[in-house]
Amino acid sequence: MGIDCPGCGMQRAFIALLKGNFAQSLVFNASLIPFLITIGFTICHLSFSYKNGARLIVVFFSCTVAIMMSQFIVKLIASTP
Amino acid sequence: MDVNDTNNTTPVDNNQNPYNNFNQNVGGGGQITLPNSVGVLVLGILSIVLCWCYGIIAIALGIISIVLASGANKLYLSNPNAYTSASYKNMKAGRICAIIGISCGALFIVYIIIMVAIFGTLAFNLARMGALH
Repeated sequence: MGIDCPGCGMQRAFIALLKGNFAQSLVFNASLIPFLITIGFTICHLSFSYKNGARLIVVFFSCTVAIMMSQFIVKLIASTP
Repeated sequence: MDVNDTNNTTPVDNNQNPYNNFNQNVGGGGQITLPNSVGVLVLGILSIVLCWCYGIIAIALGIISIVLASGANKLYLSNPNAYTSASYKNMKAGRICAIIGISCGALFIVYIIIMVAIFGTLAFNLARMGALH
C-alpha cells in the first residue's frame, strides 16, 4: 500500500547526484545533499577539530532534519487523494 | 615536564579516575580526549538517516548514543581537567543529535501505527462488504 517514510528516495537521490542531476536529486529527496555536507563536515571536524565545529555540526544536523521532515509532510499532503 | 606531573597539579583527586594514567591520546597540557566522544557523535548523526525500517534503528542507535554520552559525561564531571574541552563539546553535540533522532524515530513509529490502523480498517471494511473477492 506504499507507506512513505522521511528517508524514502535517498538511493534514487544519490544515483541522480552521481549522474550530476542536482534538480532530480532534490526532487527525490532534498535532505541528501545537506546530509552529505553534515557527514563531510563531521569528518573534517574530527580530523582538524575546528573551534566552533561541534555547534556547527548541530546546526547542520538540525537543518537536515528540518528539510527532511518538511519534504516528508509536503509529500504526504501531495499524495493524499 | 612529564605528563603525569601536570595531571597531579589539578585540584581534583586524581586517584579516583583510572583513565588518568593512560598515556594514549595525550593532547596539549596532558589532557586526553573523552572516551566514546567520537562514537557518540557518529551514532547521533547516523540515527536520523536510518529512520526507514519503522524508526527502530534510529531509536536503537539514539539510545546507545545517549547511554554512552551519559557515561562519558559522568567521567568528565568527576575530573573536568583531565579531558579536552573539544571532546566534551563533541560529546554534547552528539547527545543533542541523538535526542533529535530519537524524537523523529518515535514520531515516525506513531505515524506508521496511525497509517496501519487507517488502511487496516479500510481493508477490513472492504473485505466485509465483499469488495475484495
